[in-house]
Amino acid sequence: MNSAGRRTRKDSGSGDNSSRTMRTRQDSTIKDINGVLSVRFLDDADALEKICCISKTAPKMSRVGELLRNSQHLISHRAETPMSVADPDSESEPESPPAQPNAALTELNSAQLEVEDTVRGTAVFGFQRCHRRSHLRRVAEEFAQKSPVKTSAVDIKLPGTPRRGCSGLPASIGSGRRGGRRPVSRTVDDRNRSRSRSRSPPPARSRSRSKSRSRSRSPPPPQRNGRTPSTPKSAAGRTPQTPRGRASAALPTKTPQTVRRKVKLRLSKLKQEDIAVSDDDDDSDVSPLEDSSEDEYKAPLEEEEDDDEESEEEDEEGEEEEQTSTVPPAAVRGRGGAPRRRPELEPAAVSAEDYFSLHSAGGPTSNHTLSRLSEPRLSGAALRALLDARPTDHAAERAALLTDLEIMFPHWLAAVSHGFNILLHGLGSKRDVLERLRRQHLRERLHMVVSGYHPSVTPRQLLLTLLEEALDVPAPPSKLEAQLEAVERRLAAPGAPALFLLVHSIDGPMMRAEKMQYVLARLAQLPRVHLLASADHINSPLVWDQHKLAQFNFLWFDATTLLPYTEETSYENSLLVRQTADLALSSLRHVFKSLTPNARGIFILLAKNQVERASDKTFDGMPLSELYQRCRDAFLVSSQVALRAQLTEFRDHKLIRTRQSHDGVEQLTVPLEAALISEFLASCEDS
Amino acid sequence: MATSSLTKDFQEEMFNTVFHEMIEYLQGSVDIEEDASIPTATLITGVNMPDHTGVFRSLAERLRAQVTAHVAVLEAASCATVQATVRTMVRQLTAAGEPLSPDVPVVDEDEEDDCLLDVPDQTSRQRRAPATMPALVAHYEAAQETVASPKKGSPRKRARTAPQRRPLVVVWRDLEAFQPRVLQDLVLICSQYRSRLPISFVFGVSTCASAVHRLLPQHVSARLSLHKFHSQLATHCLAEMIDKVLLSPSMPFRLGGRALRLLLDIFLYHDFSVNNFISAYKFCMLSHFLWSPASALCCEPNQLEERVEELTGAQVAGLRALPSVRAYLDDLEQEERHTLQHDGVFKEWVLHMAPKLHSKHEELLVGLRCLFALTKRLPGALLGKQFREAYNLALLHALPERDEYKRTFQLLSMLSRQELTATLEHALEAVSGSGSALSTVLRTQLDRVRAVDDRPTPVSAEESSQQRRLVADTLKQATSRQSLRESLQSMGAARNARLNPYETLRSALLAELDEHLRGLIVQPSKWPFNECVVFDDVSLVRRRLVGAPRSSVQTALADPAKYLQCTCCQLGDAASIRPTMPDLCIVYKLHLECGRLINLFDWMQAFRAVVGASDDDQTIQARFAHCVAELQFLGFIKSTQRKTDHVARLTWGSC
Repeated sequence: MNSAGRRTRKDSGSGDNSSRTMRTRQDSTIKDINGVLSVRFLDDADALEKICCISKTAPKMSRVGELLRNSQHLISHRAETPMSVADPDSESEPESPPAQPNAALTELNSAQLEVEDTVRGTAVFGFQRCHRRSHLRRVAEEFAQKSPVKTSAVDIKLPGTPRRGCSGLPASIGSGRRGGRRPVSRTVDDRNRSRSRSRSPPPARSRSRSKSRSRSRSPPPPQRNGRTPSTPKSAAGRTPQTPRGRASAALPTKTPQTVRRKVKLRLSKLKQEDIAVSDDDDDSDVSPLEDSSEDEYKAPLEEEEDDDEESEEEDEEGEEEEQTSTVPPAAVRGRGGAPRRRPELEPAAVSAEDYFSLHSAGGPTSNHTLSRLSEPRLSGAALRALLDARPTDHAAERAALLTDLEIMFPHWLAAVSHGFNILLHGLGSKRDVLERLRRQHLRERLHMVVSGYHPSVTPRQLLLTLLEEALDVPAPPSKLEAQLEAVERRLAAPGAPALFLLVHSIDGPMMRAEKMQYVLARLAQLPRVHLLASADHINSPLVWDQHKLAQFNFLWFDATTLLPYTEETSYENSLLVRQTADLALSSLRHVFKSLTPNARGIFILLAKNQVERASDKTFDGMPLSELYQRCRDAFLVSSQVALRAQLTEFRDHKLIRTRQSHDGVEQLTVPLEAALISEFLASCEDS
Repeated sequence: MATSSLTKDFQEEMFNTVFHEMIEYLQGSVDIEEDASIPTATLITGVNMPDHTGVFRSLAERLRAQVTAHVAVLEAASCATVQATVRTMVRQLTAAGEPLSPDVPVVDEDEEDDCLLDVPDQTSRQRRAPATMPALVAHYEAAQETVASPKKGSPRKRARTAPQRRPLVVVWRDLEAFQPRVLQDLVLICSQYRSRLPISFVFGVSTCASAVHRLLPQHVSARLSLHKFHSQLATHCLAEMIDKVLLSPSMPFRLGGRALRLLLDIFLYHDFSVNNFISAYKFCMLSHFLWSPASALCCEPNQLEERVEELTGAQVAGLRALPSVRAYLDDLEQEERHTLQHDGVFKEWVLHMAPKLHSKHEELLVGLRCLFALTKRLPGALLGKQFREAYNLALLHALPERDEYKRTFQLLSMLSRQELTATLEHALEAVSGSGSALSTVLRTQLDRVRAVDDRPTPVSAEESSQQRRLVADTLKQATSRQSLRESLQSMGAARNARLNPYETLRSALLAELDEHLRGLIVQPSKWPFNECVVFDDVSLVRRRLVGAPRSSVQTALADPAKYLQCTCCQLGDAASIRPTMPDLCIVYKLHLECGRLINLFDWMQAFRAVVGASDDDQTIQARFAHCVAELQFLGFIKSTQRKTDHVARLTWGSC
């Protein structure tokens, strides 16, 4: 062992065959580690050549390490940092400390406060609201003008519209701004608390509240502002704004309104002398009683102080722009009493309460439908054409992300050659990543690509392809288990090549089946099979149990590319894309060609009947007895048994669909639209 | 891989005893008279499923070697029906006798037709009898005859060899995963054939023994005679593994404290799988050699010289920049530091320092083993119940400065002579193999403790009489119960202050021991050049081994600037939306504001409002449609029938 090490070291001196040297060098290192071992550190030596490619001149393994580390360092800023931040308790990485949500919010808002001192009176958010509202209105009006369908401003639910219940998404933006208009200092939780409190009363009360809300929307009379005596100066923009309905409900009934108003006025005067606060505070429609219950806003108060400090540090440049382009967060939408957002998204941090609050009430969504659009559902081709015509945003950044991943390729190959498998996760299509890996490093090697997002991939098909195409097994067995054994046998044979299995979307719709994962796990376990896969679905880890995970032996890599999932989503029944029937029609034609003349006659009879009665709303299929009668008349079948045999064949090819009507009669339909059927019938008559 | 041969040996060893017992039981099972119930060994394996593959593989190997050639290992995945199970079982049992070359595929009778069509030479294929129980009986009897035939002895002799029939062992891996129906039927079938075939079962049960009775009703389990065997606990295996592999002196590579803690946490709180632990350890080793330039010096001491010779200038500079080296150099004198700037001198210094890494680790281990043996009998398990906990603690912190350490010595200083002797004996036993100086220290200490007289020093007559007088005085003086108690307490304290010889010796011994241990137990991160052998990049290991796919997706969606590193999408507030962000992120953020159902039309209007009117309607609609499809693909939404043109949200809260 020692002598081997020595020899390789000499080789490395000459440096002619660096890749070989590299390998043996590593072997020797590992032999050093363990006095007695028979297993080589790197049994797939060829894979390591790839690492050597980047370090041709470096005879030392540690040089490779250096290089790799440098490259890693390069990309660490880009790719690794977010992940490490997302790690709940990763030590180190102080570079991007997660910003406190409140701090961030307050920072933003206080910045706006400073910038906009011209409109300061209406308290910070009033301005913003106007601004945003006008922006939205502009957008909506533009759309209304363009759109041939008549959409009034009310339909688009301008943010100003006070109705909450029936509003759809734009309204949610509105409510979001309402949230944003709230005092800078109120913490998310507080907001939540008050909201949930105000939501708890019965519907009648909430109605009154919404009324009061709409009232409060009108600019408040100037003499009412600054009337809160106990509020310190800093809290001027922060005055709590529990909805008025609630406040009035809680008011003691004894004091008449006039007296209270007088007291208020006096207090406000006192206060104005005290603190020279500017006029018309939008949020000051608060009863004195409210102030006595100040304690629940203690936390905001502290926040406010922080906020003041922060706002001093704030530099003002660029804030103007930010204000115009940033849509402030919708605080909490309707009854979903969820805290809006945490700086780092950690699924674990989501409280279970959110789940129940989301599911406790039916969502008050508007009744708008897509039929308002000129073309409710675009066709797939049109969609693609439109998207292709548009330049992609962040093209350079996305390309840089890909390049960063390319730097990792040698590392992946090294890990793979040591019996690990690679799983890529992260947002964006990782098809390109694996494709690049394939083109750059696996051209000469035995590899197979599985498109997991394809809706027709099956374990049997996968194994058959593997056996026939990749491993050149002449007559593969037909049973799954036997196929697996055949693969194992073939790859266990001495001199068998290493197989690289690239799986796009290992969690694709068809890949989620237990059988499929079983097959993949079995394959991944083989020493000569190297699996490189990508996972896209957010719940993908649920596919694997403990045992399978151990079989897969994954190393997880964050391969966020932010590329569009164009290929992956093209197979999906998208909600907004019209289903084209081209496929159905062509399959129909193919099956039809292989039918006997009599069978064709039966089908045409059925189809014609359906076309004739297409306008009939009550028609839901041709009864079997009627079909039989007609077929007999046309000399197509002689017995019901023969007809049934034909129908079974149709059904197997999905040419017809049978349904039992309420009175137990079997009814037959062709599961295609009438237009398509007539098109098909026309083509039949032509030929 | 480096550890694989070691780990394999040790795993075999771990299961040695239980396998031995089982094999004896199974061998004995043949002798059981006919028509009796099926002898069944229930092997309780524990919940660490990933390890079971190895366990059952070695069990099958051992059974084949020692008991019988007829062994079938059944897995639930291939035994969905009774028919399939019988076929698999019979196949495996009959395959035993025939040497089967791996290249020749086996033809199933069900597959004959399609195979015959395209295989030119059928001779290369083996034809099999149908895999049924009668075929198995025939095959078994034939096999027995061929075994018996060479011994054409007298009938008496044959009769004596007859009990030497080899049993048929069927191993059921992971019994809980089988269909109860299949299992019951198969037990009944086999018990029918028990008169002709000496079948016995091995049930692999991962939960508890009662699982068998839960799966099998009484009339079925009555056909079995169950015998329970417990396999080795996974934690024991891990302790062995750490002791034999991770801490072995022949291994120059070491795990750092945080990395080791992560690996242990994964083991203890996640899967209990020793195999996964080994795999994670492999990954750590791989990353160390691939990523750390300092790993060039991670080798056996005798090769160090050559390695150091070969160091390039850049590598030397890299070594000099190691934090531990820098800290060490900063403590040195000015001129000494200056001389070390020269590469040649530095290399010599490296040669001088690097071998110490291994000896230091040995010292640490010796000290730690001694300390662990000392604390083991003390109450409260100060350093943990397992040695690995103590080791991890020593890697993470400077142990002598910790409370646990101080408390240990406090407690030790209260031990009686017998207890101290026993404790020291334990400690001596723990370190005796190492041949370090500590063992001699302990031995001499032990001798001294044994020799010392722990009787209190004889009190002189004068002193005692004086004392007696004092007591009498106080008793008289005491006017209240409280004052009496106080005076007695003060007297007792005065007497306690005077130590007997044993106590003085004990404190001296402990002080000496403390000093030795403090010298030995040095935190590895304090060693210069520790980066060469210690791998402690815990965040890398965590990222690679504990995937967090969901958080990466959500980070990218919520704050794409983190990935894109662009200036246009920087968010002041995590919840805000910018029109420059990728469409998918905008659509995602808008959907967060919704409840369970989302109106597609309103959603699109919101999207339009955010991105502005830069594009025409159709394009915006196309962009939106694509994003919705992507969100559906990612699993955030799904289509719903509950309301026209609505989608259902699948997540809740802020993500």
